[in-house]
Amino acid sequence: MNSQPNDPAPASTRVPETGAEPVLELRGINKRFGAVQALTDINLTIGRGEVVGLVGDNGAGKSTLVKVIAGVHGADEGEIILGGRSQKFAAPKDAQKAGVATVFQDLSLCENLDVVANLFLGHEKTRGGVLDEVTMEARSWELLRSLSAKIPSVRVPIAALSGGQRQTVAIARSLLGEPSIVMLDEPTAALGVAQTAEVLNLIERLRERDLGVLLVSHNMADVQAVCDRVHVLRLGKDAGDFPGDERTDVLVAAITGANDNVVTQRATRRGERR
Amino acid sequence: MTRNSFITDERISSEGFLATFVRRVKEGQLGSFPVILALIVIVVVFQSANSKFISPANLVNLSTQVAFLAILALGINLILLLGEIDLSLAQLGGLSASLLGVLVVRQGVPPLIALVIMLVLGLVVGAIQGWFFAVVGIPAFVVTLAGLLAFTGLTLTTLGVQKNLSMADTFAFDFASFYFPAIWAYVFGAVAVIGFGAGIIYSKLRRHNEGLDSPSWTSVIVRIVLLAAIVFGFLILVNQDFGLAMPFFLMIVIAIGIDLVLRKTKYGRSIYAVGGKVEAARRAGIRVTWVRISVFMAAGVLAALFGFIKTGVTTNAGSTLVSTQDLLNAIAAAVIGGTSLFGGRGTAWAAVLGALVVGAINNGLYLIGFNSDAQQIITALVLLTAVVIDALSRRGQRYVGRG
Repeated sequence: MNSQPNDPAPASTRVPETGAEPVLELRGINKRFGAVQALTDINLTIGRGEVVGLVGDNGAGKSTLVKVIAGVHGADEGEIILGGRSQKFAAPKDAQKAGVATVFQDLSLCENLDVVANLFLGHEKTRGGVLDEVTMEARSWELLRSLSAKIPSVRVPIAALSGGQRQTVAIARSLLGEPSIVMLDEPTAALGVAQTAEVLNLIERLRERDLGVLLVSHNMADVQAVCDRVHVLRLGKDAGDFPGDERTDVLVAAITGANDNVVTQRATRRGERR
Repeated sequence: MTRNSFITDERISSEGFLATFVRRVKEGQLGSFPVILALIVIVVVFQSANSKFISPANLVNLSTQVAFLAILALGINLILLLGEIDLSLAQLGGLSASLLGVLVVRQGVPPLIALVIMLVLGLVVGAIQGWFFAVVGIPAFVVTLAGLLAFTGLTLTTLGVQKNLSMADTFAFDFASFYFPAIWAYVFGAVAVIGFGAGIIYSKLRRHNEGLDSPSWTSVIVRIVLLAAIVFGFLILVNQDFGLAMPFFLMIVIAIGIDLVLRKTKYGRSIYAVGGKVEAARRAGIRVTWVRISVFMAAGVLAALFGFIKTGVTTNAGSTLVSTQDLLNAIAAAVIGGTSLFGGRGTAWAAVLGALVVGAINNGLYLIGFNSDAQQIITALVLLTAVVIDALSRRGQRYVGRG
């Protein structure tokens, strides 16, 4: 990915899809842990078929925000609107039922089980009380093929797969619950160049499926490569909502706050008007 | 079929039998291969050293010896799949056997009721140990070490002043020394082979219909013929002597049952998941605590059954029935069979095959005149080899994983 700040972005995909129907809206989310105000008045909208990057420095509140959306933490104030309805998540299960799929950094895959077993773990298909391996395997191929995933065999244990392939399996698993929004927490961390490209391709597939995608990442190049918009958090507050092809120095300025000036404020206002 | 071309992955469909084998070795998916190889070596070595090794009389003897070891190993195998260890199972078997003996011989309790009581004892003790481990959070190693000591003491308490207790002329002895008529043995063998064959043919046809890659007819037929040859070869030999022994039959039935549960049910899958990565299992909605406790309960029942069979075979229900040697042999059996000490990898047949290896080594060395010291040393070497293979195959997986 070329991240030269002055490069013009290739057309279509990088332009914010302002007309997209929102799948997820956050309004005024506040979250406090004891004396720490982790999130203050967070507003964020993700449209159907839109990939939104969530960036920020360590401790900016990215993970907290993801956990609030995933139902791990309840928000103290504010509203989560999913599919047009205001939602209250008491537990991760509620969020999953409402259509929020979360792929956490540590992947939550069992390395000893094969791809099929991991995809269906906890939701195995049965026929007369017996595992229906044939249906599950066929469904696995179908799913992985639809994502153009490069998995050599669905019958190898996860331990025998590369990091990118594992990430692919983890993302594919989140799709089995028919979500409307997928949150990816640092999916390219610790991956090589080719594997990162593989995961970024996968994110494109998610967009083609008309899913809303929230991509949490530290890597500006990755964010600029696939995101329609980039939402910056700083110290638990919105620090701007930029187009996906925003120049790296502007993003870094927003993340670090070193350039907390008219540019970021205007960008924030632009984000809110949408 | 459009679906066929859509699903079948070109990268796996063209792979031949040998290529599959090489890939599996590289990926660390050796399965039962090393233990079967070991068994063949053992049989060849002992048979050439002493032609009595594969004689009907010795096979009958060996099958009974292996039976109770394998039942205990099946219990430990389940715990190993969770990635835990249970040190108390052999002593639990001894305690159950002594309780059975005291109830039947000294108190005159009806045999069946006493048998149920001893099995319930195994179940309850397993539940208690599982609870300490899964709910209180004490390492299973420590909980079951306490159990080992406690059950040794409780066995002595149960026996009272007289530490010896003979089970000769009781139903336990009758059960353990029951041999099926030849015709019944062949019927069981036929049922097993037909069941196995029907299972893999049905699975092949379904996979084919769904457009998945399915094993070739050659490999299906080879597997069925191989199983039939082993089953009927064994039955023909033992039928020249006493025949198919009840303990061995019971052990095979239990192994088939556990194998089906592990491979074919959601519960079995959840055992592997907990053994592989607890956090992942929990996030997938698996009730980890229940899986852990229930596995300890199952192992407890298997330990009691081990006690029942061993007391019947040896006609001893006293304090000398079991020793830690039984426990170590059973752990060795499961690991030799290919069950990983690190959890999540292994099959029910690993325990049976491993028990066959341990039993065959002890039996064979005895036949060619070695004493028990040599038996222990050689079993130890085999165990060490098995653990090395386990560790190497894990490393192989990681190596391939990076590629």
